[in-house]
Amino acid sequence: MRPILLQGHTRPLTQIKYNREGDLLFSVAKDKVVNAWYAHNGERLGTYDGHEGALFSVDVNSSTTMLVTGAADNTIRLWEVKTGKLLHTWKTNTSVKRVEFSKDDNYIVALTEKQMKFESEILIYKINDLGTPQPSSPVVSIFPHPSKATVVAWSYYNKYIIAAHEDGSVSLYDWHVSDPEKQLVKNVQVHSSSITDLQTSEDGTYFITAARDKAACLLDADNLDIIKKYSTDAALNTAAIVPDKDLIVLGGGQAASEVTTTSSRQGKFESRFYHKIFEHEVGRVKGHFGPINTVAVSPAGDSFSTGGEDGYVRVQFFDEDYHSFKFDF
Amino acid sequence: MNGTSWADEPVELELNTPQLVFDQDGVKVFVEYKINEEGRKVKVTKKIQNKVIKHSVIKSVAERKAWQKFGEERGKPPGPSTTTTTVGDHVNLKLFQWGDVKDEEAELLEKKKEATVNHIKCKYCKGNHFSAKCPYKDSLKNLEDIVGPSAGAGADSGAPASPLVSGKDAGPQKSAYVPPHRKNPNSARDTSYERSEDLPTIRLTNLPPDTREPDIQNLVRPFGSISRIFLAKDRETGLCKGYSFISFDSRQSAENAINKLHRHGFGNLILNAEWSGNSK
Repeated sequence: MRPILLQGHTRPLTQIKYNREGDLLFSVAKDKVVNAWYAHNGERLGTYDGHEGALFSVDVNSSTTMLVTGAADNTIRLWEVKTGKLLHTWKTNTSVKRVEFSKDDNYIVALTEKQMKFESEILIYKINDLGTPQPSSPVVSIFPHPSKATVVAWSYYNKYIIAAHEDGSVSLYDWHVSDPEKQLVKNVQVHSSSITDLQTSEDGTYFITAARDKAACLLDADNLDIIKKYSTDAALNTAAIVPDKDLIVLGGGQAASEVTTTSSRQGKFESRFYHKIFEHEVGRVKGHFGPINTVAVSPAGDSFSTGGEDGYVRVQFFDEDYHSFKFDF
Repeated sequence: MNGTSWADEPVELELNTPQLVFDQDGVKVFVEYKINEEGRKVKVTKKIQNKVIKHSVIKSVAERKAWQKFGEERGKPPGPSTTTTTVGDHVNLKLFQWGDVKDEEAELLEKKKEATVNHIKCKYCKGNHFSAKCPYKDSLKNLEDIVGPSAGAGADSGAPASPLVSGKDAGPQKSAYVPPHRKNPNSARDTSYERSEDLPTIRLTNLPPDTREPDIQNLVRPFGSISRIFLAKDRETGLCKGYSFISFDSRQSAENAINKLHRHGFGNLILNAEWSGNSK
């Protein structure tokens, strides 16, 4: 396969997201740009201009009408996908590390960084329909404990907020409860170092975590049981679940600060495919010359995209033999 | 057509506009007259078949394909721009059933590593490591001190010595430099060189520049068996420099050749044949 290289960013990529049909791709990086791309040919549809700091996270709702972004300029911004118009800006105390639409598009969850005197905070906002004003204050705010949260996501039916922590643990928070003492439902130690990514399955019943301890884990969203564990030889930055095959994609590599001192081969900058059930590596794709920061698989299952520290987004369409590949057991 | 002289216009139009002459079942035939590189007027017939390939997509996806560009892309023409979108080099994703995923580059690196390791040879035990890291360093070194350096090296029992060394295990001088004239005359020497020195050799001069080795062969073959022909050629042009050396197996045939070839016409020139330097 010949990948399509998207050069819309000048700084390391932080997150890429497909919309529900997989025809659009949204990318954010540590520059101030939010890009929208047509996934099938790599044509840039447009940019969402307005942020004044590095962006860390992006998400699109299921009807591809609204886009939410979180940035280091202490704002969460809501955009109209079609026109690039800014719909609403929420000010936060610190930089926003992660944003995500709930499964029913009615809420967004945002995670803010622990900075200065402010603690890390999980904020949930109600989202109104396009064309109506958005409420400015959060519905609920959760202070993650025991350790700082690095990633958050919604579980199925908006039941819980799943948070991954800096100490390698994963916790469930019941956001319907306002009493901070009772919000924490469960906390499980999964990894031995900071968790870098957390992506839920299509139905939200399980999710995958990637951590710097060179492992990725598949967890049950109900009780946080570790279903599968994938061990690699590289520190991981990101992990994604392939929707229509029993595969997962992992991306990572050595820390960005060490890249210049070693060859790209030793850096382990390939995206790796693991068998979801048998937990062993089945293939890898090279290409980036820096660590892979974010990976996304098209919901249509025909392509996957990686965003690297090198500032490139690579859209790879799977070959014929990928689709015909059957696992013998 | 703008920017061209008005005088050229009607001719250009008549020549370069393809005329549609046939249109049926999606096949179109265009006929065009133009002047080719040689200045001749030629007729170009082009057959074009249009095939419509239909992809069905979700309605919302189709709608999104028609969206206007916005932000930095506002007003840009449709289609991917080369400033933001390029196609990368071919990459492979080969899915494996079981076993480790093979990494060609890693394997290459391993081989390279092995190759360099093989170059390293311990001076004590001939093992695959640096002398300083030899596990037998102390014991073998002591042995060397007692028996003398050469015997010490020869005393190693287990390690296989290379054939070159084992061939002439000549004690202290084993590794020392030996000038060529001191070397055993029976051992390896360039025999062909040596023999041509002793053989009766004649020199042919005043050869035409286009002479080739087969020509010389034909010329001298009647006089007897030849062991070597050297034809001086220019390194760049490959042309004959005008002289040649021929070594015969017997002195008699060389003498015959000189007698017959001296003042013999060859090509448009008259040859000189004489004894070469030390063959007299």
